[in-house]
Amino acid sequence: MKTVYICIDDTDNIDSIGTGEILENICDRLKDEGIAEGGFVTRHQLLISDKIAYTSHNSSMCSALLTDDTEAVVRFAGEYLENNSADGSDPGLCVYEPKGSDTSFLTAFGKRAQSEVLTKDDAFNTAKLYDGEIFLSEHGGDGSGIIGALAGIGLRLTGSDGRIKGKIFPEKEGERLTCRDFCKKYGAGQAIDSETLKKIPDDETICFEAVTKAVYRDFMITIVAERRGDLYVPVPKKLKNKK
Amino acid sequence: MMDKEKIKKAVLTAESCSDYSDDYEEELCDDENISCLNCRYRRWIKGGFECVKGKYSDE
Repeated sequence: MKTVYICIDDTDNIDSIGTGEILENICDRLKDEGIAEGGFVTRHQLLISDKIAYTSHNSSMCSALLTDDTEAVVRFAGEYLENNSADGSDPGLCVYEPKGSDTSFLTAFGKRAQSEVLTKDDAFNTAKLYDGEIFLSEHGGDGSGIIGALAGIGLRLTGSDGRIKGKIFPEKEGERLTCRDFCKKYGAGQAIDSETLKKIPDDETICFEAVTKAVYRDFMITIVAERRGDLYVPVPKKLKNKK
Repeated sequence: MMDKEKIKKAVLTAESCSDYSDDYEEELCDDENISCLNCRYRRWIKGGFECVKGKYSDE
């Protein structure tokens, strides 16, 4: 099995499910079909600009897959987007199968997409540098989602960009674990100090009080925790409910 | 980036808005409050956002 990356962008509209959910659905279906097994989804923020008309999010969603058949992934995901993207969206798909090429042009493209308005030609020209490794395709509308799809792959490859889709809930509010056991239990690769951004040592105590979200850092699912006395507490994400 | 006053105003506006609707979980910007920043009718523009509820109200 080899690792390939899949990223999609611009698949939603105001009434539809989000792009992250569509990617999760694609991963589930790929698994059902025996084509690939997906991992966690990362969200990568791209440029917010008034030059990108009525941007709702301008973020793209990326996951790593284990597969023996990259072409089947490309074919299945493309068809899925054409059948399931929202009306009025401009879906783009990027699948990347690393074969040892220098990834710096890809990561640079991702970073540029966070600070400049890029075009489909910019995306295709970058993709051409990775012939046989990058599969970039439009699946409806004006296809401009390919820009974010390629950028999302580049940002994922930096190892430290964006956040993980979904929330992490404590099994029991206030539970205390060593950082090592906390990470193992909740599927994180590491926890970092919210002030210093340095890795929290394995034997420090984490007190898990409330739902939190993880970020993608050092190629790992990373929990951000704040120091409180001799404990660390994952930064809570407690959103009020609208009455 | 938005300044603190604008962020506060976004919270106050959303709390009294009958059209407020949560955006997708992964797109929520304010981790604690009901805010226009978390609304699916929010569209980003340079230096802030616009509410596009009116654009969709007859659909």
